[in-house]
Amino acid sequence: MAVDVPILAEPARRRRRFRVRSPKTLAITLTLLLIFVFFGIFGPALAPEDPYAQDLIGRIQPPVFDGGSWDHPLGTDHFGRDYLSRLMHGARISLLAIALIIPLATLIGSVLGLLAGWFGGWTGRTIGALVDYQLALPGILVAVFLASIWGPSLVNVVIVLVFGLWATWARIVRGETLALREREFVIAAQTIGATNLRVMVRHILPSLINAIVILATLNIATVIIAEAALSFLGVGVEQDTISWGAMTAQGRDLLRTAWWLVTVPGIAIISVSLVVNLFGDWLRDFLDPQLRNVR
Amino acid sequence: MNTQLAYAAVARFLRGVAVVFLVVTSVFILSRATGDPISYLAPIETTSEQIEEYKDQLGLNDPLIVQYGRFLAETAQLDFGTSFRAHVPAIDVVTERIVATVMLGVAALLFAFAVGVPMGVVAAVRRGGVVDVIARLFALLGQAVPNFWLGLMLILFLAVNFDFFPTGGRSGVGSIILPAITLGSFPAAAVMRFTRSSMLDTLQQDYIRTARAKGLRERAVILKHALRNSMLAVVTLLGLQVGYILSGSVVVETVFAWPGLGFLIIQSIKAIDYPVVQAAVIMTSTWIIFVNFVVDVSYTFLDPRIRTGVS
Repeated sequence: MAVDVPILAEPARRRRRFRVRSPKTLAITLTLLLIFVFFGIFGPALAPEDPYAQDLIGRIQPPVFDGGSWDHPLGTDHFGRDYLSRLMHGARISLLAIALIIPLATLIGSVLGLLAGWFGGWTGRTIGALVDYQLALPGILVAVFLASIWGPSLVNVVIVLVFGLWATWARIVRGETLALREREFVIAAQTIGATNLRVMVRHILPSLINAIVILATLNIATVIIAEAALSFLGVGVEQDTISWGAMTAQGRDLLRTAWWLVTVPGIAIISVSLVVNLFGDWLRDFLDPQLRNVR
Repeated sequence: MNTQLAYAAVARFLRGVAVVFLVVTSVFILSRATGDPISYLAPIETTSEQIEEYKDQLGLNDPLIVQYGRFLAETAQLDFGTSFRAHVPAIDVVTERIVATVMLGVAALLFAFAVGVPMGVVAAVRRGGVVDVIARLFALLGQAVPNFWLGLMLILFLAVNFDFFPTGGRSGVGSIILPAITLGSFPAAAVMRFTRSSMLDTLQQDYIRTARAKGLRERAVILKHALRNSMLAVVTLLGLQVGYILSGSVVVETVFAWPGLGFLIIQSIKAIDYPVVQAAVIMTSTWIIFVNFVVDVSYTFLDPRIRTGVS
């Protein structure tokens, strides 16, 4: 398989900087995460202004720390729309993308990985070819195609990213299943006549659940960034949906005159991705340190 | 042993061919699902009889299976039809752009390795030192910063202030630098992480202790003994990065208006120029599949230890 890179485990003793180590930093990370989720759910209700309300007289106003006023803490865009309100609305689409994509990709990838690892043979080879196929057809091209069929939509983003991500789970789950297949408790289960399905679900899956959850957490940032990139290119969410990527694209032409239009949504994407990744790294170290370097 | 290797290589090749076939098939299905191009292209006053006539000429009225067979035959001859926009064979439009994308991709990979390898080596040798800290921060940011945003920030801070870097297009030496950095920074972080962990692993080996014991200078131990053996693992990474480079180039080329394949694909989709889109997608995917095949096979030949692992 194209992706059978031997996993080189780092020695266990090492300095761990930029990691969540103490309960205090964990609490901070979790708080920041919850704030993101909170804004994703309640942002539209809490936003100070209507994010679509145009004010052509008050357009391109700088944020408060660049000489603007507190009326618009993050300034306004080229239609005079309040940028803070738009940013808060934008959190929702990122959260929605995560909520739809991660469970689907996890489910499809884990099931296929489990089947490939357990049955091997033709099943394994077919699924291996599917992984190759996924690696060879860049998701961005699929997105472009789908957008040209139906126009940009969140459904496209979901299809493209599920298609682009499932192989991550499939690879890891397949590898782990191959190893577990030889273990005594699995052989014992087979010996007493357990069906394939029963062995997979009751005996192998429980040993893999940590790895699956860790992968899910570590791929959240990928979803945030990919959704933003697709929306930036105009092949992501619907044209009038507020997304951090689309906000960046709209601010692009005003890069010289209104730096915050591009900078602010980017910083939002980076902050959320950083926090999610820090949490994911912590979760991995906590649940299953063996999984280091899986990505 | 050798026949086993050859068998594995052939099997791997056949699987590559099967994947190319799958990709071509999905392009066919997707492009037929996009609707027929006539309705977009024909002038408004075209009568429905004329449209039917065009469809007959282009074979769009044939049964799907016939169209599919013809599509496969034409694809095998690299005949993707005539570009609706440029009125020359689509494959020519694509090949014209390949050079620009290859240049950008090579420049990006050079940047990735030029930054990633030394940083990874120093980070591994001086673990916990300043470079290691910077490397970790770099790795963390590499997974959080979207490339389109990085590109725009480089334009904002560098291109706007220094005339040496144009904000877009392809003109002069300076024009490739910012796109290459944008495209190369994510692979750079990956190469750095991989080099670092691979070096840490190698430095623990017995032969490193032997090299030191026989009195080799530390420099020679690290560069000749440790680095060479570590690079094997890093080379594998190259195959995966080619896929990233080709899909990442769609975004980066759009940000910098770099006249490559990625920019062409986005432009052609907007102009509903399907022959070009199909040609570009199929060529790009075939390229990725081929590189993955070469990397897989060469890796097996390079490292005797994993030969037994070939199944």
